[in-house]
Amino acid sequence: MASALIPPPGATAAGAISLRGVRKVYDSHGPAIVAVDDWTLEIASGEFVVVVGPSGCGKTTLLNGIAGFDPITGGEIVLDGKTIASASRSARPGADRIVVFQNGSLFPWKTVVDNVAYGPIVQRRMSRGQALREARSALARVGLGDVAEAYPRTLSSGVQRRVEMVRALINDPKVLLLDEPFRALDAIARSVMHEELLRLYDATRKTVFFITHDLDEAIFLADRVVVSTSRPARVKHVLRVDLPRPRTYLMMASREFLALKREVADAVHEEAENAFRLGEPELA
Amino acid sequence: MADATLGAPRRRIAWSSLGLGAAGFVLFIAVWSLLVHFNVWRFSKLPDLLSVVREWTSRTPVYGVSLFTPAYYEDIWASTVRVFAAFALATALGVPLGILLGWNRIARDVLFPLLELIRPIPPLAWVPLAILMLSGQQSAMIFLTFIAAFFATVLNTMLGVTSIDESYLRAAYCLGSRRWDVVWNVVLPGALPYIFTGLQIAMGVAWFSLVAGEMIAGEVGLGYLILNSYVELQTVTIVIGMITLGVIGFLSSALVRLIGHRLMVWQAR
Amino acid sequence: MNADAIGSAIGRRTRSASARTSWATLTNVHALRGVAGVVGFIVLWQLGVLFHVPVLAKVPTPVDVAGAGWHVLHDPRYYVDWLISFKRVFIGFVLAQVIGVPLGLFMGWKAAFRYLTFPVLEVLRPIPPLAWVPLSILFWPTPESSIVFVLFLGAFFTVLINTVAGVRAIDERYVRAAISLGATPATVFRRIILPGALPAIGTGMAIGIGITWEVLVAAEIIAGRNGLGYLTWEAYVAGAVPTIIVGMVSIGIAGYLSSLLIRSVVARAMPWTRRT
Repeated sequence: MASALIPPPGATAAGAISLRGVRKVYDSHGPAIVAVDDWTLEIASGEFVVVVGPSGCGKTTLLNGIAGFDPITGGEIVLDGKTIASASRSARPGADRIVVFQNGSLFPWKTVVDNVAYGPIVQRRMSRGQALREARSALARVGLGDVAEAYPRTLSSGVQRRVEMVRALINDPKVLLLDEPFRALDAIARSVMHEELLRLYDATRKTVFFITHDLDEAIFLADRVVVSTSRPARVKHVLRVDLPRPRTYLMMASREFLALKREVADAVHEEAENAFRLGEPELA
Repeated sequence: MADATLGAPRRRIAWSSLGLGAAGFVLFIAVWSLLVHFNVWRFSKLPDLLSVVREWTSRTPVYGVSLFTPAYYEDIWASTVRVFAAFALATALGVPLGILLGWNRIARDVLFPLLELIRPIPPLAWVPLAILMLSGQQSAMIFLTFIAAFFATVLNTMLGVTSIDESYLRAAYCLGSRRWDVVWNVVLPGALPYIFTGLQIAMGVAWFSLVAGEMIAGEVGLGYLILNSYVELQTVTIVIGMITLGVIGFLSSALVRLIGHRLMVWQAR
Repeated sequence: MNADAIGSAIGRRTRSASARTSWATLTNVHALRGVAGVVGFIVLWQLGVLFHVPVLAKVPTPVDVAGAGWHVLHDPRYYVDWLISFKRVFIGFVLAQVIGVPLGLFMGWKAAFRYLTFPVLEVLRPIPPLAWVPLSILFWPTPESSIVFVLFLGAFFTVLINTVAGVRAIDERYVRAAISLGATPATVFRRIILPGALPAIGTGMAIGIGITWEVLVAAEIIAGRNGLGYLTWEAYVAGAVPTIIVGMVSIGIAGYLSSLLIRSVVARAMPWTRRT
C-alpha cells in the first residue's frame, strides 16, 4: 500500500497535481457539512487516477475544487508546483484543467464543430477559420467527421460524449477531469467509450482525474485506484493497477483483475454501507 | 397525454381536430346569432354578426369604417406603429437589463426589489403620469405600452438566465472563456427560450396597455375607434374594432413566436 | 472578494421572490442592497425634479407625494375606495376561477372538447379586456356588473390557458398507475388530474390576479365612479398631481398584497411542492 501512494517514476512536470490536506466545509446554509476532510494525494504527470466511492461521499466536491468551480476551505491544491487553490485563494477555472461532465455539456445551440472549435476561438489562440479547420480534422481523426454540422440534440449520448472529449482535448489541457462521464450511458455504450477514452489517453498521455462509482470501470481505466470514505471524504485505500496498456476487455476476466477487484470491493463495500445507513442526499 | 379517454372500449375520435375547430366556430356564431335574434335576455343590445360582417365588407359603410375605408387602416397603422415601437424599445432595454440582473448578484440585489415594487402598478395607472411627463400624445402612448412590455421582458429574461444549467457555464469557463465570451456564447443563447416566452407575453401586454391608453386618452387608433364607436352608439363598429384587435394581436404574437423558432433552430429534432 | 466574484460569475441559483420572505434575510447584505436600491431611486427622483430634468418637469417630488399621501390617509373615502376596488377584483377573480378552472380541467382532459372550443377561445383571447368595455356596458344592466365582467375576462383566459396546460402536462404514467390499481374515471379525475394540475392552476391564479388589478384601473376610469383607479383619474382631471402618484402606489400595493395572498394560499394547498 505504501508504494501505491508514490506516483510512478519518470514522470515529467506537466500536469502533476498535489492534493495536500484538502478540506471543504459547507456552512452557508444551516449546520456545517464537512464534505472533504484532509484529503492527501500525489498525482504524477500523465497518470490516470480514478477515485471511487459511494454516491454523495464528496468526490465531486474534490473535482470541483481542482477545476476551480468551488473554493476549498482548507489545505492546498498544487499544479506543477504552483498552488492553485487554498483556503485563502480560490482556483479559477481554466483550459489547463478541462472537465467532462456527467450529463454532458455540449452547447445545444452550437453545432458539433462549433462546440469543438469553441475553446481555441475564445482563447484567441487562432483565427476562427483556422479553429474550425482544426476542429474538423480532430473530429475526422476519431471518426466523427460526419456529424460535424449536426446539433448535439440529434446525436446519441455516446456520440455526444465523444465529441465532448474532442472538445476538451483539442485545447491540449494539462489535466482532464471527468466526473462520472459515462454514468448516463447504457453498459454497451459505456464499454465502447472506455476503449475510446483509453485510445485518446494512450495517444496524448494527459493526467486524468476520473470519478466513478463503478468498480469495473475504475480498475479497467486506471493506473491507480483511490477509494474514498463516505462523507466526509478521506483517502481510505489506494492500489496500483499494474495491468499493461493498451488494455483490452479480455483483461477483465483475468485473475489479476479479479484480485484487484476484490481488494477494491472490500474497501468500498464498508463505506457503501456507511453511506447507506446515513441516508444523506447527494451533494451538488 | 392525460386526456386519453378512459373506459373499456376506447372510442376513436372520428373527426379531425380541424373539423372540430371549424365546428366550434360555427357553433359559436350560430348561438350568438340566435341569442340576438330571439332577444334572449339582453342579447338584443349586441349587434348580430351578420350586420357586423355586412358593414365590415361594405364599400360604403354606414358608420365609415370597413375593409374599404382608409380610416380603418389609419387606425390599424397608428396602433400597430405604437405597439411595435414600444415593443422594440422594451426588448432593446429589457433583454440586456434582464441578462445583467440574472448574471450579476449585486445588480440583482439592488435593482430587483425596486422593480418588484414598481411592477404591480398597472400600466394604466401610469396614464395620467405619462401624459404629464411626456407632452406628446404619441410618446405618452408609447411610454405606457413600453412600461408593460418592459417588465415582462426583464423578468422573463432574468428567469432565463438564472435557469441556465450550471454545467454549460462551467464548461465554458474551463474551456478558457472570459466573462464576455460566456455571456455572448452561453447566457444569451441559453436564455433565448425564456426570452422569447417573455417577448410573447410582452407583446400581449403591449396591446393590452395600448388599447387602454388609446381608449382613455387617444385620438386615433383601434382603442380609440372602439371607444368612439361606443360614444356614437355605433355598436357594429365596436365589434369590427374588437375583431380587428383580436386578429392583429394574434398575428403579432405569432410573428414573435416565428422569429423565435427561426433563431432557435437547434431545438428542432 | 475573489470567491464571491467567481461564485456570481459561475452562477449561484437565485431563489424566486416568493421564497425570500423569511425574516432572517432582512439583516443580510442582499436585503440591504435592495433597500439601498429603493432609497437611491427616491433620492434620484427628488434630485431630478429639483434640477429640472426635462422629463420630470411636471412630476411632483417624493416629498410632495408623501404629503399628499398623508392627506389621503386621513380621508375616509380612501378606505372606501380600497374596499370597493378589492370587492370588484375579488368577485371578478373568483368568477374567473369558478368558471375557468372546471372548464380548463375538462378541456385538458377531453381532447374532443378541446378541439371544439380552443380555436374560438384563441381568437377571443387576444382581444384586450378593455376592448370589451363598451360592449360590456351596453350589455350588462348595471355599471358595476359591466366592470366585473371585464375583470372576469382578464383573469379567465389566463387561468384557462394555465389549467389546460397543467392537465396536459400530467405524466401519463400517473394515470396508468391509477387505472392499473383499479381507479374509475371519476377517481382518476379527483385524485390524479386535479392535484396534478394544481401547480399550473396556482400559477394561473397568481398571474390572473395581477391582470385583474391591471384591468381594474382602466375599467374604473371608464365606467366607474369610485375605487382606487377612479381616485387616480379624478386626481389627474382635477390637477392634483401628487395624488395621482398616491393612487398609483396604492394600486401597486393592493396588487402586490393580492398576489402575495394568492401565492401563500396556493402554496398551502400544495405542501408537496415546497422545497424544504
